[in-house]
Order: sequence, then C-alpha cells, then structure tokens
Amino acid sequence: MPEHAQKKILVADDSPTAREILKGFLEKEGFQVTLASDGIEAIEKTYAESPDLLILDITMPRMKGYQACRFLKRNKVTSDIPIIMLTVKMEKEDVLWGKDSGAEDYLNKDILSNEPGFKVLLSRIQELIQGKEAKNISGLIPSQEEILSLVNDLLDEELRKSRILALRLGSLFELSNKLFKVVGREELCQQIMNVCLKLMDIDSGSLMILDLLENKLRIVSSFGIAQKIAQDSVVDMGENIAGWVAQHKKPLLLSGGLDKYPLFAHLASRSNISSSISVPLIAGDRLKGVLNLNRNQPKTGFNEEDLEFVMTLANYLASAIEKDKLYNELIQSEKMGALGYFASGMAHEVRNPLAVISAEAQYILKKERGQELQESSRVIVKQSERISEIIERLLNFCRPRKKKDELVDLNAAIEETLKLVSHSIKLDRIQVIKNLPKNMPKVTASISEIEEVFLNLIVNAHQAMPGGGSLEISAEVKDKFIGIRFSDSGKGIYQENLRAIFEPFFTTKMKGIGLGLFISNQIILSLGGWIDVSSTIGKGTTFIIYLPQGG
Amino acid sequence: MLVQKKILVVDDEPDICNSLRKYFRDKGYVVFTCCEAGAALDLLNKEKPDVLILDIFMPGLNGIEVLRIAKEINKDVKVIMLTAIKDEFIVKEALNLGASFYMTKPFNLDALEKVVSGGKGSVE
Repeated sequence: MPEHAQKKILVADDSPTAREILKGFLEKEGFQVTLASDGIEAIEKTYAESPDLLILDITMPRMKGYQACRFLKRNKVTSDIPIIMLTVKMEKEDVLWGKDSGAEDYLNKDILSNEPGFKVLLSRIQELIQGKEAKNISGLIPSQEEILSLVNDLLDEELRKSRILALRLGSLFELSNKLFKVVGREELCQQIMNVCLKLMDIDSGSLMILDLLENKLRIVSSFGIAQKIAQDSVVDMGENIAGWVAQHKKPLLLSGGLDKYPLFAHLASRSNISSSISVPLIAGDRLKGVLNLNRNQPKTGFNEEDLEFVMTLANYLASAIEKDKLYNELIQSEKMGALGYFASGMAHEVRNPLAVISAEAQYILKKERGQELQESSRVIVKQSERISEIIERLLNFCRPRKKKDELVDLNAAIEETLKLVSHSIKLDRIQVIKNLPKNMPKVTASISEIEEVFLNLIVNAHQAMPGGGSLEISAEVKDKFIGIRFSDSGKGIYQENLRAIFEPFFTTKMKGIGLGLFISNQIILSLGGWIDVSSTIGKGTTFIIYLPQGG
Repeated sequence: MLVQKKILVVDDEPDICNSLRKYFRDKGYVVFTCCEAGAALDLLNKEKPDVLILDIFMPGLNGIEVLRIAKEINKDVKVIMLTAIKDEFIVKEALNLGASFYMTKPFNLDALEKVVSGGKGSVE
C-alpha cells in the first residue's frame, strides 16, 4: 500500500474545456480526477466516489455551484470535504455569497491562464487536502428528487431568515429615528415596548428600570400585563427571573415551563407562557434595567437567534435610556427636539478624542525644540479647533431656537447666500439666473434660518452639476404664500427617492451625513410653509419653498 | 518652601486624564486622576486636592453633582469645569455652585495651567 494513497479530486464545470484543462493539470500533479458537468452530478459523484476535495464552477445547468456546495456542507456525511469555488463571478456580492455557501475558498478562474496561477491553485489544494483522511462515504446515494427537494428546503430556510433579519433591521432603523425624537423617560420606555411588540411577536412583556436609591427593579412600561399588577411590581436584586438577570447581568432564554429550570422551579409560573427572554440593559458596565419578553402557548418559543437580536437591541436601548437620563437632568432648557440628542451625543463623542489629540500635540509643542515639528504640532492644534468649530455650528443649529424673528427681505437673503458660494459656483461653470420680482413680499422668520435653507438648496444644486450647468432662482406669489423656486439642470433625483430626501440621514452622496434637507424642511415647516420638489433624471431638479407672507 | 499643588482630574475619557497628568506633572504638580464620580469622591476625601478639573457629562453621577459634593467636602477647592458641550444653563449652574472656570474641549493647556496656578482668566 502506498504511504500516501492517491488523493482524488472532483472537478465540476459545465465547460468541457475547463474540465480538460483542470484534469490535465491535476493528473500531472499526481491526483486522481473525476468529472461532473453540473451541480447534481457533482453531488451524485461525491456520494459515489468519496473525493478528497471538490473544485466547483458556479454557473452550471440544473444546479449551480452555490447550491451543490450548500447541500454538501449541510450533510454530516459530506461536510468535511473541502470545496474550492473556481469561477469568473468575482463581484463582492458573489464572493460573499460563495463563502456564505460554506466553501473553503473562492478563486478567480483566470488563475488557470498562467503558470503562477496554477501554482496558487495547487498550493491551496494541498493546504486543504493535507491531513484529511480519505473518508469512504457509505450509504445510499440520494436520488435526484431527494437532492432537489433538500436543496429547496435549504434555500427556503435561508431566505426566510434573511427576510426576518431585513425586517428587523428596518424596524431598528425606524426605532432609531423615533428614539431621537423622544424626550420623556416614560415616552421612551413606551416606544421601546412597542418596538419589542412589533419585532418579536410577544404576548406580554415589561421594561424594568433599576431604582438606584433602593436597588430594586420597577416596571416602567409593559404590554399584556394588568395595569395594577405592573404598577405595584417591584423586584429585588436576585429575586425572581428579572432579579436574577439583574444581579448576574446575564441574559436568560427560558422555554417550556419553569419547572425545567432548577433555579426558578419554585416560582409559580403563569401557565400560559410558553417561552421567555429576559435581558439586562447595560450601558457602560452599569445596569440600567431589565427587559422581559414572553410568548404564550401555542406560539413557538423564542430561539437563540431571537435572544441574540434582543441582546443587541438591549445594548442599544440601555444607552438610549442612559443618555435620556443625563440630558434630561442637565439640560433644563426647553425640550431639545429631533436632533438634540444626536448633536449633543456627537459633540461629546467627537470632542473628547479631539481634546486628546490637541492636548498631546500641545505637549509635543512644549517638548520639541525643532522648528518643523513645532510647526506640525501647531497645525494639529489649529485643525482640531477647526473641527470643534464645525461641531459648535451643528450644536447651535440643533439647539432650541430663540425666536428672533423679523421681517426678512428675501431678495437680500438670496443675494447674501449667493455671495458665499459665488466663487466656487463660477469655478464649476454654473450659471446663476435670477428671476426675482423687485418688490417681493417679506416673510417673518430669522434671517440666518432662511439663509441656511437657501444655502442648502444652492449647495445641493451645485453638487448635482459637477460638470457645470444652470441654476435658476425665481419667485412667485400664490395666494397668501410666496414660492421661491430653485431649478437646476443637474442629474436629477430618482422618483422613489423623492419622498426620502427629507428624511434624516438620507444621502446618495459620498460626503455628508444627509441632514441638510431634513433640517431645511424642519425650518420651513416650523415657519408655516412647505417645500415642493419635482425632478427628471438627466434633466434637473426643482425645489419650491413656500412661505407665508409676513407683516 | 515649595509646596506642590495637588490636582485631581476627573474625566470619563482615560486618555484625557493621561494627557493632563503628563502635562501637569512636568510642571511640578502632583496629579491624581480617575474616570468616574465614585472614585473622584474617594480621592477628594483622601487626598484633599487644591484644584479639581472636572468633566461634566459622565456616566453615573455627572460633573455638576460632583461639584456640589466637592464643595461640601472642601469649600476652598478650586474647580474648573471641562466639557464638550457649552450650555448656558449648565454654565450658570456650575458657577452658582462655586466653580471658578469653565472650558470647552478641545482646550488650551497653557490657558488651563494659568487658571490652575491662580492667574486671572475669564470663563470661555
């Protein structure tokens, strides 16, 4: 018996040329080669001949390489066999999907076009095959119908999981928007319960906050629990499920009756609960509370993935509750509104590292004698301050405004705004055409707010026309309103995005955080007006700001 | 007779504590640092610092609360508030409670040292 029994490789590819090339190459290197021309044949031959490694093409008739790979990796009998995908599909998504199928490696077919490429393939094969004992696959080869049916089930399951995840992510995003708007602690907690209800299909649940003074948990919001019971519900650390979770700062997933769990068997269980999740809400190492979710019979119990998701949610919620407490306590001025939390949180997050950078640079400045490094340090300090100023502008913007309203001359506001950008606009060959009536009615607003909105629209128009174009600014009176129109000849906005552009954090640009139009819209709405937008791809976009006549 | 001045720095960002410790040690001060209120109160009692450089937005007890307690422990301690966000109300409250100065981050170390050493400065 030879010391190293000859290793067998299965090559699956619908192209006879590719099969021959690989066969020739591999046999020269001393491997035994068996061939298949589609995914199903690849599976059948794997069962029939127990190869030590598979090389799979992706695009094949009857069954693609992805599915064949998934199938083989799912089955205990074949899951150990290493699989290399060899394909021309090299987009990021293809590679991701290929690796997701369970393949050990994902290579570009063009390595077959030259010597070094072949060497790469060979070394990968040797790496993967090394040390693996040839396993004889005993048992019946599944029929083609069986194979297809099993693959279908597999894919259906993956699809279901992906959809649920997508739905949850969508809801999380919605939640984050809501959380930025919420101010009161009670409102916040109620929002959290609503989200859990929506995302986790619960029958009852409670959000408990830790009372620091008494070191007890109190229900602050609940769902599916009688009001009276919820109000009186106070739990000590260590007491019951929630108390245990709070004390140990560990999550729990309970299914099928409390008597199964020695720790909690003594608790009188509400008989119709089939499954519970209880997770600690921890922000920065401190326990803020506990979130409890229950499902009743006969619903399927929560599973590991549910628990994982709720834990992610819990971290997020804990920090929202934490921030809420801090900002409510400290900021006694009027409610901060939509962006208050975000701006303050961001200011804090950004300015702390900035302070470190600046302080260290100043330290270097003190210690360093050399001119050049001293200069560098000064630049670092200066730029840090600049970033800080940008933050300050954003903060000021998000602060509740002092109403310093006056009668604003819109012509003048437009002129002032254009002055700010005239240089860069000319540079990018954008022609500004003004069609404004001499005696435009005035509006009651704060000049800086109006100018901010105008600036935002002009900048957006500018960015839509990188190669140049025209921006027409005109105005018309409509009943008791004035409409100021900004019309550009830029690339336009897709119809499906037209509603979303006013949402926070929506942007199709590489730069920027997508707050410009959101803020502009908020300002105009708060003045009693609105913004209309229409657009044609390739032709341009028109924004019309409607404001009530003032005075 | 040179008595070394004691400074206590309280900030939840450890690197800020380190930067300040480095800078002030070089200048001859004795520096203690910590990252939250509990430790701060301990150190205030134990070491009785002359100067307290205090961050405002911290988890747990915030800087305003620490300021209040610090003044109870030692009404003469000089307190400099250091923070990322300058809010009118917070500034007023801090000054009312006895803070000497208020600086926003990022800050100028020289200016900070002037304030610590007792030079006259204005609240930024």
